[in-house]
Amino acid sequence: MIEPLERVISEFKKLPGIGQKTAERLIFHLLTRDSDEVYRLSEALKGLTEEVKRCQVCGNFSLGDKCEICSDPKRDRGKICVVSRPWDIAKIESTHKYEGLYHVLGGLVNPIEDVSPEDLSISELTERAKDDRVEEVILALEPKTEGESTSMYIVKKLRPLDVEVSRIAQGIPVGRDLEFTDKATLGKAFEGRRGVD
Amino acid sequence: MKIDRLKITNYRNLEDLEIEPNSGLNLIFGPNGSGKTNFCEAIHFVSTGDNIKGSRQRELINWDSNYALVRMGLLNVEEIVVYLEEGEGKEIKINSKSGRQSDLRSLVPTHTFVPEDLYISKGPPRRRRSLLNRHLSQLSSGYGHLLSDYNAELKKKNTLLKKDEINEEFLEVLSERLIELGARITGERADYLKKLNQYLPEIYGQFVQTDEKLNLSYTEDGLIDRSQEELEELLSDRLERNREKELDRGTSVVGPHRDKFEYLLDGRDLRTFGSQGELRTAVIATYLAYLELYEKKFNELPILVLDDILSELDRARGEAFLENLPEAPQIFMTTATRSPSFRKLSGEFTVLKIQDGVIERQ
Repeated sequence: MIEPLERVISEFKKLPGIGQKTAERLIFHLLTRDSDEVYRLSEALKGLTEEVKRCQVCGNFSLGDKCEICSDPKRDRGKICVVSRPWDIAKIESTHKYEGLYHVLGGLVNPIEDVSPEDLSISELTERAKDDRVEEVILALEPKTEGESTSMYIVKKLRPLDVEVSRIAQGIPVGRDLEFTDKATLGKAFEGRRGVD
Repeated sequence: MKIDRLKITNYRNLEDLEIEPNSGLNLIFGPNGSGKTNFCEAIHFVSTGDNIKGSRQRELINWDSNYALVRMGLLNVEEIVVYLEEGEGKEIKINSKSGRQSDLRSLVPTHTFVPEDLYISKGPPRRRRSLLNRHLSQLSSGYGHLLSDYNAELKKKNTLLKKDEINEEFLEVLSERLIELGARITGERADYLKKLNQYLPEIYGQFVQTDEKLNLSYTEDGLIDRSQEELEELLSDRLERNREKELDRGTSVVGPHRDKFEYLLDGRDLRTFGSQGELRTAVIATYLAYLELYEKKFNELPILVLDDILSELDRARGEAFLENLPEAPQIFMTTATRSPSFRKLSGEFTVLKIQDGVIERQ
């Protein structure tokens, strides 16, 4: 294969979920489009590194030093929701159920991947939680083992402080049949059951 | 549950094999190298998504091909396909839709017994541990998840213990997790052993003339009938006592991943004084006891795949096995020779012959 093609393929293959075959397919697709379209794609990609910054307060994606949420005066400053990645924020925002602030950890503790608590913004979180206005820290980390142990670690760190610590509920997805819910999820749903008002 | 149609393509030496198996017992004859074991493996593969021997993917695909495929039709599921392509992952399709391995387990309950299983009683403790894990994953809801969570946390703790600088607080978090999950695993195992031992002596007695009672027991005393809190306390104490040792060796030395189980005949370790035959019979008895518990829980037995069990048992025990054959909705049993023991089979059965990768009814 000629060099420019090889070069793009090897870059594409670094992306998650893309192997040799998919990379080739994408590139052959791009080669059949007109050059304007390919140019727009490359400009858009360039914009990612040049324009998108991280919020200095919470770690969310941002155009300036402070993200839209952190600079919004209407947000409830008594609550901080802890997520592992910035895109979890967009997901939670889309529910319109949460009015507080966020804190992006930047991953989950995992010694196997050489991610230790110091690599995440946990000390930044405890600093933020010391603010008198903060009443509650809500942990919204993935319900897998890494999320579990990272949550436990954060709980330990927050315990000395005067804040409530809560975790989002785990259970059966809305609109899903009990029959097709796996046992672990169903078990969690039972553990987390609550009274009917 | 029963397999109505089965089509095997390029799975090891089976290039193109098709059959509509009957319910009940299917006896499969064939000389060595004819593909009997591969046939059993293929059934296990399509009904669990797993390769029972843990072979590498390339070894499962016929050498002259670059893909392998097993297709199966059931009464209530039109078609299940497990597809393997060289260099790609495994693909599972249930009625033409993508499926997961866990879907298969609930759709086609299958239990496979391979000759190597007969050495579970004799080999190192890890074999008996994995036997209990296999049984419990089927019988206890959530055990499989529990075990994989425990193993994931254990791997993290072991990695952490090997580091030059250890975050003590995170090590403590992992230890707490391991205590909680570990105590649950120990509790489940202890409960299962208790139930198993209600059946083992009687079943064993059908194979061996003896008044001695066979039990499968924890080597460590005092784990049966404990509450979660008591087990957590036990585990936490042991972890505390071995803390320095763990840091020193850079690995976790206590917990259910080190649990030991032994077969005891009236309290004596079968491994040290039992004959080869008695050791194998202990495994067969465990298998039958497990199936009793399985039937009690699910009201139906799984499909049984029994690869070449008889060749490992002497004639009298082989006959006892045939006489005590569980009444599963469908059984596939392979054997190299037509033994006179088959007179002992009651009821109807189908005889199949496999040769050079082709199967036909006799």
